[in-house]
Amino acid sequence: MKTAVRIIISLLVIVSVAVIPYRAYAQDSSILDGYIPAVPEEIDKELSDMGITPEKVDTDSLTVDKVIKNITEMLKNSISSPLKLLVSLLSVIMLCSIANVFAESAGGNVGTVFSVVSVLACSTITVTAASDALTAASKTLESGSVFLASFIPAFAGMVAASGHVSSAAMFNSVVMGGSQIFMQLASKVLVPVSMSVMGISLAGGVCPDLRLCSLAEAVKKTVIWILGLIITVFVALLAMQSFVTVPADNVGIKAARFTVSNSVPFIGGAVSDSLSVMYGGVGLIRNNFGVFGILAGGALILPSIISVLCYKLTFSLAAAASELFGINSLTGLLRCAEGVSSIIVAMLVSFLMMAVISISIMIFMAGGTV
Amino acid sequence: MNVDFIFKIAAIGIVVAVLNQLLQRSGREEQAMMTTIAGLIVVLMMIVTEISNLFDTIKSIFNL
Amino acid sequence: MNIIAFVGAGIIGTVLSVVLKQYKPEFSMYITLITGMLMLGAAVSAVKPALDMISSYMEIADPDSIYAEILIKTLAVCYLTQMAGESCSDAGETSIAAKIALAGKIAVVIIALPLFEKLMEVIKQLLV
Repeated sequence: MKTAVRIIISLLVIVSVAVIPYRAYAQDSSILDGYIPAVPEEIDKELSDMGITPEKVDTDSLTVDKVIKNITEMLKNSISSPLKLLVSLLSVIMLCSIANVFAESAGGNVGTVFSVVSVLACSTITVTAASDALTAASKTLESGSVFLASFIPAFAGMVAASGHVSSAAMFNSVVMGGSQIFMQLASKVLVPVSMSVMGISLAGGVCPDLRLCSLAEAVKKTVIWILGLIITVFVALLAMQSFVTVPADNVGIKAARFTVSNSVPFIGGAVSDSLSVMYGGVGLIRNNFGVFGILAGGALILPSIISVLCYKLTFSLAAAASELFGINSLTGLLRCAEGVSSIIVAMLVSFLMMAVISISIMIFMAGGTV
Repeated sequence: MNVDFIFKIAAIGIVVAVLNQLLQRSGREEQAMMTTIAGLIVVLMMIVTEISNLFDTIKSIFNL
Repeated sequence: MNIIAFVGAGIIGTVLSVVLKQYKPEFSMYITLITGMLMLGAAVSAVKPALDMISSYMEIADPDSIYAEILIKTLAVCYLTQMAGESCSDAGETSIAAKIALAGKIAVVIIALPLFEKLMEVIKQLLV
């Protein structure tokens, strides 16, 4: 009689335990219900066409040739306006070289006047294009930081739900703080500095006696160095904190499982195993979500990077052409514009790297154990 | 680009110079001076036409 | 664009001018003037295809740009001023040549005024 009761009770408990993991799983998939990614609509549509959504990342659609195809499409879209800029610049340079006949002859004054006018024309074209590129880049940075602001807390919540609570807290605070600092730096320091460098090079182009080009070069080197320093410090801080918090969380998880398996009487082992299954399930969703975040961030920032790289290429080609034709004032101006494009690319790339590396560190470290 | 124009002017110039020398040697100074001036005026007329041609060409090419 | 014709015309003009300078210096100035003008006219007509190509490129690149027209007009003013100034200074009238150069510079500034306006706009954008 006692044995029969015991068997019935254990059967009932086993059945109820068997139900729990499914409920937990059902719970997991509703984690993402309230999440609306702050990604612009076209990118959202593109990503879901490729099978990448916040819930699930289709590994078939992440093949190398698809990625390369997408990148070449982005390249083709953004190459048209830099090409037009290149054509205008080259035409002005050719006109300059036709008129440079005067530079050597006796009536040299008239030739100087023409070269001043042509430098003015070139400068106006160049500076307009460079400041357009700069405003577009800062808009991209803004939308990138808005996306991060919505993505990082959700991701940290998932990391916490998969058991790594202190890592999640640390991750949230460090990355949000880092992205805020970066945005402030970019909008308050980098953009005005780039604008002033453009202004300086404009002045230097019109009056070739003031050798202002080396000043612009120095500013560009300093800015790029500072950006590199900030990113290194950020990544090092994040990695060191993860090295500390993730093992601590692992210890916490193991302790919780040990406690559960020892305190719950008969089914303790089964419950602690179902806990691991649940953590694993949430971990899977967390990893998918992290990959979605990386891809969405990349899709947001990469077109801007490619377009600014095209502008940089345009400026360097035009500078080479004007050096070939011997028009020194234009060469200085175009090299400064190339430097400003480098600064913009450095800004965008550091932001992308910051986001991608921090998410990857979290996925790697927290995905090691369950 | 008609080089004959240059030859024409040079020819007029040489003729005027020769006539000038002749008239001076034979003592008619005023007539010498008048031939010089006449030659100058004739050449000026021819040149003005050519200059106006040149300016029209430049205007049309450069849309001034 | 026959370079031999150019070279030939130049040499002939120089020789004739030197010959006439001893007898009738006024005529030598005429010869210099007319040789210079003929050659300038021929050279400018020869450069026309290049200018057409350049302005068509700039039309493709930026249809509402003012640069091509301004630059080409400035080029024309420079050519004319140069030629006139040099002829005057050849004839010994350097002050007239200087006045012509001054007039040319003023004409260039006037033609390039829209360019200055655009530059001011760009600078305003930079400062904002």
